[in-house]
Amino acid sequence: MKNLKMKSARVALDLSQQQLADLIGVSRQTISAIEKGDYNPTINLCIAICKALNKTLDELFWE
Amino acid sequence: MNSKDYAMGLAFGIVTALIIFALIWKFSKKGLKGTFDERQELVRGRGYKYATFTMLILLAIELLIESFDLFETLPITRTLTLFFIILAGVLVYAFYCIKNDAYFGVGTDARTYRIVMWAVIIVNAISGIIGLKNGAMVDGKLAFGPVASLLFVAAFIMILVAMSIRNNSHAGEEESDEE
Repeated sequence: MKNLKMKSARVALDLSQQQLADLIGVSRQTISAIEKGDYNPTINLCIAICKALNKTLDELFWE
Repeated sequence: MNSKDYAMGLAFGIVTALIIFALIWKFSKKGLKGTFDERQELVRGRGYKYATFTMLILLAIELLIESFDLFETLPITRTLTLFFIILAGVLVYAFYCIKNDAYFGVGTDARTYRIVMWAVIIVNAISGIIGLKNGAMVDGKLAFGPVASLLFVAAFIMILVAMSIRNNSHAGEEESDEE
């Protein structure tokens, strides 16, 4: 299932996938895979994404 | 070239490769492992699995061929067959990682690797062609040295082509993801 909340939070901060990937130290393809729902990140990566996007885990990853 | 010369050449090659790997390990910032993110580590783990199963299946076939003494009738030696099986495993792993964007670590400059790969291709192509000129067949079997070199060349070219295709498919991908 696509993670539209994460995508919209990223776009709201005017970040590209590459910029977000650089911020948290992963590849752009990994960010793309998470947003498309092709990859379920570990809790550590979820936390890193939340910190980079100034959001909580609930806001981005709780359905 | 007698077998003693060949064995010494092979040993020299292996020692040289080990020294180069050790130097890269010591002086590169990230070492040989690089930094792969968690998705890439997962993909690489699956890649190892598929490569291992590929090699197991091919080894089983090789054992069957050997058990029926078919190597006597084939123009290839068992050594060359085993080399081909190793190369097949490496290719399966490489293609799977390239397809899933896990061949290079985060922030790795792929150009350096491409240059090294081209160098390997050129050296092996020269070695293979010279070897073939000296005779492709030994005792009715394909000579290991030149054929192995040319198999190396073919494998590295396939990897470079796969990388190129994957890069082209990524061109403009982020823009389409943003829609």
